[in-house]
Amino acid sequence: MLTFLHRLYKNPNPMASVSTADFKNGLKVLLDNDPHSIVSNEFVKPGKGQAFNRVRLKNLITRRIIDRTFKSGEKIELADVLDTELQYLYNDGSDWHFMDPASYNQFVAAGEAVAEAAPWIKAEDLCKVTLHNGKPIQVLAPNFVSLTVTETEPGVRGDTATGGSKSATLETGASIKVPLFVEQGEAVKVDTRTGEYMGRDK
Amino acid sequence: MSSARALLARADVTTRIRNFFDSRGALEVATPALEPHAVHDARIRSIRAGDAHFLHTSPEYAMKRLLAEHRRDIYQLARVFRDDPEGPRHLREFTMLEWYRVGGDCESLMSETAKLLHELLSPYISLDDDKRIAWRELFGSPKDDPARASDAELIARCESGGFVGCRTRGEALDFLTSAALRELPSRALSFVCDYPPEMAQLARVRDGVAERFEAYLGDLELVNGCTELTDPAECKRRCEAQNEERAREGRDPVTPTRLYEAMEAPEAKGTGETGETGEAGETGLPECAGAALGFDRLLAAALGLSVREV
Repeated sequence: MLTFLHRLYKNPNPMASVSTADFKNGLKVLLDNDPHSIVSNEFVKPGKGQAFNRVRLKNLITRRIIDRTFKSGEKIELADVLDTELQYLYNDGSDWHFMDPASYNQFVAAGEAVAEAAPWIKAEDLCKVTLHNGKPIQVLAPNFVSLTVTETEPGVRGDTATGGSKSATLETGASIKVPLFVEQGEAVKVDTRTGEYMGRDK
Repeated sequence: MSSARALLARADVTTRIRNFFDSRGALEVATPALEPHAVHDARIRSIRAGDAHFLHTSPEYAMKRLLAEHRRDIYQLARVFRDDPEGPRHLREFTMLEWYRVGGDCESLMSETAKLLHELLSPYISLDDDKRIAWRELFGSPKDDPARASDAELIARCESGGFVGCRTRGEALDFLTSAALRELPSRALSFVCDYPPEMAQLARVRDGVAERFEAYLGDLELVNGCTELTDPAECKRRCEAQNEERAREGRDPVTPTRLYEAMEAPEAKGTGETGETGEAGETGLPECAGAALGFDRLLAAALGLSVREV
């Protein structure tokens, strides 16, 4: 099954490489067997001699930022990386399961890849997933999600949209700040990039 | 797009360059931009012009031919062309000031360069005191001198600096140099000199030291100069070494016949006809020193702009 998926999502040109001359921000390359995204790229040729490209890259698996220098004109391998939308199905206790809504193919993501999205996603949410060699390496929650408040202090009567805030636990287990008037059982809209309350849903 | 300020500064600096050299006995010359072959240096890429020509990457060959023939000080402001990626410091087409002093050497050229740079930059920016740094001093204590390090040590130092896949000593030295240059003082002119023989380019090597210098403002290279190599056989050896470099990268060799002609200029040429030709019997390139200045970079540094904006 896995091999099959692998083949399905494989880069059409698996050994494709790219020259430093074509480096640009956001380009995904393979370095030390990990996919990296180019953050910045500077051509340096101080004085005579060899020209270099000073490149800052983000490891898409560990998220670490590294600085590397390449000889100008050198070729490096492109990473077989694909951004796609997958539907979140369920968590089996350790791994996270997703499905391609068009092909019904299923994908299994390890906890690290879902770390950023985990507090916000619930079954059936469509997530932006980055696949490397057919395996999810990063899952991003939709920018806005609607989640039910499962636990919070009772609302203060007479309070309006302005005023203080309190903690609320959402159905996914995430904890956010909400205005005092929000009641348990209500659905709230959350910006997953900042973790901020955006308003009551409906 | 150039601003009015950049336009005026360009004209002003051009005039002051001409005044500087005219008052110091150098003759302005103009040489063709088309050459029958690419540049000898494997690290520079020439731009092809039609089937039979390349655009020059510097006016060096033609000016050395003039030197061999006329044996007098010359300078030129030339548009030159290099197939490099463009950026805030690099253009594919740029202006280069190149000049030669017959009988000069690296030392005299360095002090002339300092005078010139101060004269050109002082109306625009204030500078701290000049620094003179021997190349190996870029690396701190003598035990860190990369020229004395073993191959394995060099590779390890490159890797810890983020450069993986180094294949030759030359590449390693270039990388370590480029990293060390970032530490140069940002508001002063730094004159880096006494390069190792591996980095000699076409400079004379004496007592194991290449008589070359590069002048930097911060880590921006403005001038590169040297006591010129005058030995035709040694020149040929160095050009052939560049071809070995090209062969490793699967590129075609370059035979820089224009350079060879200058190095071996025949004695018959021009002798005795006019007052300005060399003494009869002298052949080839006279003892001389030459330097090249990146005009657009100087202007960009003076105005705080990028090379594209000037």
